[in-house]
Amino acid sequence: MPQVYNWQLGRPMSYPYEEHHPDHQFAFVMNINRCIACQTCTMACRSTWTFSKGQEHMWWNNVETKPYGGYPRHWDIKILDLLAQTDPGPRAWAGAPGDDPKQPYGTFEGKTIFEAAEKNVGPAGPQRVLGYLPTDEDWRTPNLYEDVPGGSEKGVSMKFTRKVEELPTHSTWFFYLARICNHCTYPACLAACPRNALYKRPEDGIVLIDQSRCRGYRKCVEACPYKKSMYRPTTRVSEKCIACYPRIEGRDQETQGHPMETRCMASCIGQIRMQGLVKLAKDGSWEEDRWHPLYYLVKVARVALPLYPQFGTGPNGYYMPPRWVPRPYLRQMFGPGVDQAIERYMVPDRELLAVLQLFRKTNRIIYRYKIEEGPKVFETEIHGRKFEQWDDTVIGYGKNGEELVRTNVNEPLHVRPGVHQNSI
Amino acid sequence: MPLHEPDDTDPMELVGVRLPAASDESTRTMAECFVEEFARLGYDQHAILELFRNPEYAAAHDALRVLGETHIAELAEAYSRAFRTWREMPKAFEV
Repeated sequence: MPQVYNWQLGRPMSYPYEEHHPDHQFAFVMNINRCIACQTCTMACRSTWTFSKGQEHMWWNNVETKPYGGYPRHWDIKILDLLAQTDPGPRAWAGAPGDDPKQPYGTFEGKTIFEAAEKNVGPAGPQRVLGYLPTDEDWRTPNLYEDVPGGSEKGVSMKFTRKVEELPTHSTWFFYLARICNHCTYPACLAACPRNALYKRPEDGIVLIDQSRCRGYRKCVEACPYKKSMYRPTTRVSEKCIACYPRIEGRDQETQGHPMETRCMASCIGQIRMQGLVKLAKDGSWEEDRWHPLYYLVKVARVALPLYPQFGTGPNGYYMPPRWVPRPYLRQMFGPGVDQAIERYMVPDRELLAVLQLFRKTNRIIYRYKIEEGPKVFETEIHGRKFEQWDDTVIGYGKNGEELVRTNVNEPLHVRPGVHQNSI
Repeated sequence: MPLHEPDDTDPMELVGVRLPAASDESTRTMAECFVEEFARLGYDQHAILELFRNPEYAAAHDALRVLGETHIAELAEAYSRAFRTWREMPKAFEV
């Protein structure tokens, strides 16, 4: 099998195809410290792309409660378990997170889903990608019982506990994980397809299924470790998140030809999401683009980390890990960069504060930002370190250098009055 | 809870499971996070403590029950002191 370089793992790895990368890559950052699981993103996607017959189970965007939930049910536990069975070693990272762009998180010493598949030999030979097909039950119930473990009183139909404090709740931490297709650098769905129906667009790296080539073998459903490829029984072909590519291409009327973020990003009321296109070098690494907000968050501040990088697909969705969650859980989910990311997020520096202000200030894709310095408005000490707030102005620019947004770091605070127009 | 005893072999029988707390440490970290968030919003220590006492804020209230009011009060005092000069909670408008 050819060798490709996966910078998220800090080493070369086996992949069924040679290196070949797009000019730009669709990528996004989600600050899950801020996600409230309102599911507005989920419904924005649903009402745009998956509202038809046969798509009932298709939540291209979903928000699940970790560690209790997942969609399809237990997707990550199942693939982690499969990997542990096939590659029973320690599956550890060597070295430490550092400045080397070839190994920003150290080196992963376990096997990826591509490498582990070589050892998983069945009657038809080794798998191309280690994976499993979720059952119908797994697809059936997104979010059920995730936030609360129960409903009405036991043994009595529809009799709910009256007092709020008596409602059953989980007694420990949880957080919300918003997920879409990661439009991976080394997609497992693409690697597994015997029909070559999946392809990665050369202009933006969006991974699509050619509906006319697909025969519904479901190899992509089996292979995608994030389970974001889904089979549609009414058409007998598979479908997946298309990254709202007409919007990325600027074909939505709203922006009159300018690249626009996806529906799920644009609808985020918690302002946790930012999506863009990053420049890629020939070897698939991110070209230095210091004033690109995603480049800054992932490569400079390193507060945003890939989801399960150890799978080896090079996911292009990055997450700012929730600060209150036990670190071993987060390290398994986001790799060894977690501690550094949380340290920086908890006491953000001047530039990070400014870039965070760009989240959801415009629906158009930001390609560059600039900060105009303002006065210092506050300083204190938190978590044993000095924290300063400056009322800087941050400006986001579009594809052609046009100004898209200008906003201040210091936000006004508005409190709605107790009695207001639509008070009951 | 379901009407009848759950049947583990029935795939349609979906039963939520209440998990035990991992440790007091994780609850402490979560409580600290809540306190800091509201201190940054301009809540003073009394407003923060009141919020934790309110069972409508399930997770915060649960943390208060696990860790005790004294611990939450100490956290609220420390963070509201750190953000004392940050911003004052504006008074609601009179209609």
